Amino acid sequence: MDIKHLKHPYHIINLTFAGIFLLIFIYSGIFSAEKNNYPIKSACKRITGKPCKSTGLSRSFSEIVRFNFQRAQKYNKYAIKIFSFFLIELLLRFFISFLIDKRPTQIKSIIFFDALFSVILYVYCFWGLIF
Amino acid sequence: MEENKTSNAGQGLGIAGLVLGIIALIISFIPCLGVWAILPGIVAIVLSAIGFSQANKANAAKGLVIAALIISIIGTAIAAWQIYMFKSAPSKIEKIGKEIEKAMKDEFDENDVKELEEAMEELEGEIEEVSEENAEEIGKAAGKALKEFSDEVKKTNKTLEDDTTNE
Repeated sequence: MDIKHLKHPYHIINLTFAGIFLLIFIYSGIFSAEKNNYPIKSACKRITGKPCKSTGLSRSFSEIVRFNFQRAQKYNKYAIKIFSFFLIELLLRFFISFLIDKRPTQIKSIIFFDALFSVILYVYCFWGLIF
Repeated sequence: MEENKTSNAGQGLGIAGLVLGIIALIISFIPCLGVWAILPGIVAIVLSAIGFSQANKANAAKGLVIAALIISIIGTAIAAWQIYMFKSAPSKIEKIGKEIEKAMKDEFDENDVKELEEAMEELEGEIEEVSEENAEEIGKAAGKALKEFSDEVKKTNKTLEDDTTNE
């Protein structure tokens, strides 16, 4: 791998995001739905007393990393799609880094298609949760 | 001039600002969780602004820092809007509660309330005299009274709903 390309801002951004996505999976692995020991609690449930669309996301993610998909679906019905977004994006970050390294001259096209694909994927995966 | 354009001034801060700005933007759209986006959003704005200033001074490329600044401002604005909605929610609920209370007062006059209180007192008296023989009878009477009251409440709710629709 060429060191010069590793210093490219997009490469650094890619690897940073990969790290953040990995942290999300580690967070889901450390905390569990059974113990319910999450540091971030559902704000709307605390204020209104009723669950909202994002309630149960952390518990769902924890169940997904433990391959309990049915339980994950029960905690939050949008969680599997959202988890898929983070997983696809994580793999995409490594793939894009590899691609930039192999084809440095086409970096502008790579960035354009990466941004376009990521936005479409975000809208598709988060649509139900947001609207 | 060419040399200056390839300067890296502000790039590091721009990258940090862009990453935090994108995180803020992703989180800000999520209902409820979006309020937390204000933290990375503000940090992203600060970093991007410093990066922009450094890039400007060194006459370096500014595309990345400008992108970071725009994305972080959008993310923070959406998060701020979510916070505003959260803050105003309790007062809105209180307002609705007061409206319902007022409507209930308008619908039930003092005589109705008095009648209801008397009926309740009567019922309490009967309950005190409860024995195995009359328990079933009292239970039935209480059930009937409750049903009548619940019908009245339903009727009032319907009138309220109709009024709201007409407004």
